Amino acid sequence: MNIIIHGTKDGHKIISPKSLSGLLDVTADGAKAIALGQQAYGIRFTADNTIFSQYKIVRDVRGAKRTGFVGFSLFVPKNKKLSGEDILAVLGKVSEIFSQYIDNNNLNEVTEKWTFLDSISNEYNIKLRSVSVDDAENMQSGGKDDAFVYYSSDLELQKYFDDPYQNEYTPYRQVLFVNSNLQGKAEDPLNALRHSENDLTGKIDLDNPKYKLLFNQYTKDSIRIDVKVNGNYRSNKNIIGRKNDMEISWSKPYYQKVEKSGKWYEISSDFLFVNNNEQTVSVIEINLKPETKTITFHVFTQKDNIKVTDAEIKVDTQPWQSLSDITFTAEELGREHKIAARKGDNLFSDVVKITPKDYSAASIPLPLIEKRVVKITAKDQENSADIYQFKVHITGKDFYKVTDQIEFFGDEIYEVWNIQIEKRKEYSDSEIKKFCPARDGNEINFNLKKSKNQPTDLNSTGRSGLDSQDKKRFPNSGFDKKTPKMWVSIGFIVLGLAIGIWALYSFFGKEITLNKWEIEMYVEGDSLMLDKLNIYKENWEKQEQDFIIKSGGGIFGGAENFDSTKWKSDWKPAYESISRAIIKRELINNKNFAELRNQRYSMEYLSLITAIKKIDSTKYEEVGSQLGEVSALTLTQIAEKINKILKPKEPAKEETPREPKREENKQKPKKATSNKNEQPKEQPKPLEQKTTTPPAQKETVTSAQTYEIIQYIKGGKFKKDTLNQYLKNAGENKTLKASINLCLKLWRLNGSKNNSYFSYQEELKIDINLKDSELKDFIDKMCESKKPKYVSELPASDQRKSLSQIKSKLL
Amino acid sequence: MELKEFINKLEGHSAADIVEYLCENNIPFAVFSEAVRKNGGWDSADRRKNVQLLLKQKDDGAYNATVAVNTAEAFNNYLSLFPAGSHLAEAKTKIQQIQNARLIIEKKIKDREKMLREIKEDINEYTPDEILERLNGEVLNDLCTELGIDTQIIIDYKEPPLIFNDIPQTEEDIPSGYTDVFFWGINTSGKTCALSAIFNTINKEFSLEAPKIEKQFGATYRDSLTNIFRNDVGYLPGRTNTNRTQYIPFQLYRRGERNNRKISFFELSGEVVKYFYEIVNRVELPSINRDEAKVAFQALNLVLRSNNQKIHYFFIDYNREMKNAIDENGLSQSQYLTAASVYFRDNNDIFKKKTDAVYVIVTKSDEIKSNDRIASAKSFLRKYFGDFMDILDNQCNKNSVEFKVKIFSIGDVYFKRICKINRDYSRAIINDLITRVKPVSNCILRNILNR
Repeated sequence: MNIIIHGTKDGHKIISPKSLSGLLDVTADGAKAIALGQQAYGIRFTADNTIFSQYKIVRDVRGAKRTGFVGFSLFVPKNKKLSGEDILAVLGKVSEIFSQYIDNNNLNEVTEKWTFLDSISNEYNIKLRSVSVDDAENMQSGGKDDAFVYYSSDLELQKYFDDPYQNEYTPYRQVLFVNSNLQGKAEDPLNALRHSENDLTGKIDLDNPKYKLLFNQYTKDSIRIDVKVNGNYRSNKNIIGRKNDMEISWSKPYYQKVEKSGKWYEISSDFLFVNNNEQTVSVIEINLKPETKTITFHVFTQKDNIKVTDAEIKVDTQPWQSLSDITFTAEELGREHKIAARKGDNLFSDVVKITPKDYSAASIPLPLIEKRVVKITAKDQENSADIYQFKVHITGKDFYKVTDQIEFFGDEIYEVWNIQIEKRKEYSDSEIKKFCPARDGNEINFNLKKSKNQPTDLNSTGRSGLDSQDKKRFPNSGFDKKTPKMWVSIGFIVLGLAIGIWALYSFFGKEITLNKWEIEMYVEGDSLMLDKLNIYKENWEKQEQDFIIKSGGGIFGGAENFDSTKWKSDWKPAYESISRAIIKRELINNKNFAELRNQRYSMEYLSLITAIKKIDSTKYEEVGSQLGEVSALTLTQIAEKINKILKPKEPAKEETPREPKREENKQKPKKATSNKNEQPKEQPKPLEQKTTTPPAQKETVTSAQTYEIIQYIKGGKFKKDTLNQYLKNAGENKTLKASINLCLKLWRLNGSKNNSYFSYQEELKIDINLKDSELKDFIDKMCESKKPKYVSELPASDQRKSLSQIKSKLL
Repeated sequence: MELKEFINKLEGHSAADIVEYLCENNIPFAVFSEAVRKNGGWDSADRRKNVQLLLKQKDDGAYNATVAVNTAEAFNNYLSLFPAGSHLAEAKTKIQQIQNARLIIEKKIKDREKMLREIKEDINEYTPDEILERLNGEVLNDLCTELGIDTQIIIDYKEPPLIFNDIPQTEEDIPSGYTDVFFWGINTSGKTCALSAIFNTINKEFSLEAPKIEKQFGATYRDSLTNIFRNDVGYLPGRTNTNRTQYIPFQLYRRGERNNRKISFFELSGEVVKYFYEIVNRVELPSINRDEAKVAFQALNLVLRSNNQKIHYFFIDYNREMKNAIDENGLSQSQYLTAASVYFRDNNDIFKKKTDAVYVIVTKSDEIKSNDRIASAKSFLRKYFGDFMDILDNQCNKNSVEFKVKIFSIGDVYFKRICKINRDYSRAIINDLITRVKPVSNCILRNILNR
């Protein structure tokens, strides 16, 4: 608290010893002498202080005697508060004591004694109350000439000083307070004080209670809340007046922004909660409507540009489904999506990547091209044992790799290819077979003859690099022509590269950085190799500290703070995924079928688990030994191998229908090869070929789909839309349909007698597919809740979310 | 008759007789009644009450008669008649009030006599409102008659309204091709009054035209100043508020002349001139309220930086220097102005490149009691403003800038606020400007050819 006396003593100046900024020269242009002796009060806000002043109209000292003023100004810091009564008492005492230096309204030209200022300051300093940072006002005066208020009594003036922070004051440099007895009279001190014509009398409502504003800048749903009060942004715990103008906005990328404005009592209780007892105004964390964008699929055959209306579409990891368009919602708009189309088993589009927010076209063109997958099998010529891990070479297709299937696209299907396989050291290379996918079907078989020099090391089966036979295959590759000098040069280059890589590795001192998406992609993928999983795990462990944000501490000391939010949301789940995948892969490699059956799996494991579930538990050991080493095989390869092992149970039935078919397929190309150009005319269309699926195969697909759907509804990722889609595809499986319908009932629950969580819980208990589902777990928890909220009460956007997301909203 | 004898014969006296006896002998009723009681008592209570009532009536009557006279003598007389009267305290208070009032009147008379004496010694000792407050009509008339002043001018006194204008905010706001004329001086040096006299003189004897610029800076302020001396006798303006810096561009003609001179006056409050001291000496003076000074200074720098030619008038208050040389900051007018001249020397080559002339004007020169007031003014400047004058002289010599000392008076000032204009000094300044500022033809073609 500081008391400063200033005024027109030989010009405007600060008269008392201490100097503070923020004081005004209030002399009017053409100040009228008739107002001499009168007084007015003022309130002004600077950055740090609120200045309460009393101005007395006096004549300047003897030299000029011009009409001026003397001002007694009390500086109260913004984080302090003094009652209006005390403020007026301070100003009154200062004024009274200083009056000894005013004679007949003339400021005496004498040297004042200022000790009285200290004693008054000391007396009232102890009456100052502290105001917390949260509650401190940040009002600042504007630049317009002073406004004024006429007050009718000392008590009213006291009230103005009790509650100085009025928004109406802010445009002005200062607000002057004048006794209403002087209004309209020549003696009105405003005739000597500079002011504008802004009369605020009657416009200040002193009944403007101050409440504490409460809000989180970011809600748990990451919605940003911004609050402006009288045009200025305010923070949580700021103080606002009942009559302040508020502007509130709720915003989140890809959601529709909501804005509300007005006094707090004018804004709906849906958006603001006013607690009069605690004097708080809380901004409600509302839900925002997601933005949506619908994009249609334009599927057509690339070959002849014919529109395909019954294609299936796959979006990201969703199952193939018949869709004409897709609506992306909320965050989906900002993410990249992979979209592909197919028709039957032969027509496929490329995978198209789009980010909806950046995608301006109304439709996505998905040209279908023909695709044919040809399986390659190899048998030992002597004992008909299956051979795996052979290399396939197709002349002219730049194809030379270990695989058991080849994909042909478009015109490739109608061409004749020279195909040869090899399994070096154990077997001699196969014969070169001429093969036309369109003519010769979807399978090609080779019989390999054992070579004379059998390998002793199974791992040296030439999976990488070129051996002596490779050199023969590439007679012009120049391997044999390399001079010793050139070999030395190559050696140096290789050495240089090695040193460079080592240096880079040493410099950065880190493994290649992984992200959780890469890990998830891999652990949910088909290959799931143990060594790679272990490398991922090791690298991910090294990255753990990167997910813990540290703050504080440092060279200046202080407590170190840790923010493990990202660790919990990103690192930990991915780490658990790798760990689970390693366990699963170890179970697979150890052929622990009993344990594998009990594991939970994603859709990518479906074929393997379906195969495992076909194995009779008594045959686990037998099948395991027949399977042999599987650590280098993909999940699909293992599944196929299991299926093959299980097939010999019905050798006659299997072999008989397949042989003629193979023969048929083989015979047709023979005819066609004589005139390749005539092939399309003679051959049935590939699309038609694929529509005739054998009954046995059809049965397998159906049960796989059923299994897929059951796993889906047992988990937490199901959505209402997808369930409806599955319901259509469930066919005649009544049990499955009932389970899906029961899942869908979740959205219809409303608390009524037969639609309560309790009645629903009973229904789930007896559903064979859902009794140990995540849905059941969720409903059990909801039944424990005293006042449970239902899905139907959630905003529509939330209702479209998955069960897991819905759970997070309701629990 | 003795009291005892009177009481012994009490039954033979009427109530009126008893009252008359008590008044004549200044005997309070309580004393008399006690003596009666000791002598056997009143013959009846009614008789005692009658006497008491009659005595009260006589007391009241006497006091009311005294109040009607309302002099100290009358109240003293009442007290002597009724020393124990019921209005004793009131009478004594009245006597005191009358004596106090007499003292006040006597003081007023003394003050008035003093005032008259002082006015006769220095006609600017008091302001019109003080005179009207203390001198009654007859005395004021007598005074004015004696001084040769129209009483009605004092009675009609009112502060002249001044309407201020916006000032340039950017360099683009300052029109080029003008000669910027600065009026420097601390507060009370008379800058505003000088400007009003100059504008009024231009109005009466020369021609002034609004500038051909987009923003009409200073237009209403110029007219306000011109009107102060509309009737030759004018009421002088009050002090200029700290942040009332004014920029007043105009076109000046001699009467009948086609060519004009583009001139802009720049006036700023005396408080801002003091701020030069802080800037140049890099100190903070205790009494400077620098918030508003800084704002004014920004506008000033804007004009100073412009490429327009400049003429500087330094106003020195002769009166002030002779009476009260040092202010609260312990500094003199000379030191403040020296700081200003140092600032011009060291900043933006103001003297070197852009200055046409520098004039030191000793204002209120009517106070100089000498036959050769110019010589006395120079002597005064040498004595009190040596440093300031040397810096200006050196700079002007070095940069071939005209440097002159002049005296100035707006006319006969009385009662601090009333002035009968003397246009001689203003005319001299206007002629200086006409001489120094190159005229510009209104003919566009000629202007192009002259470039």
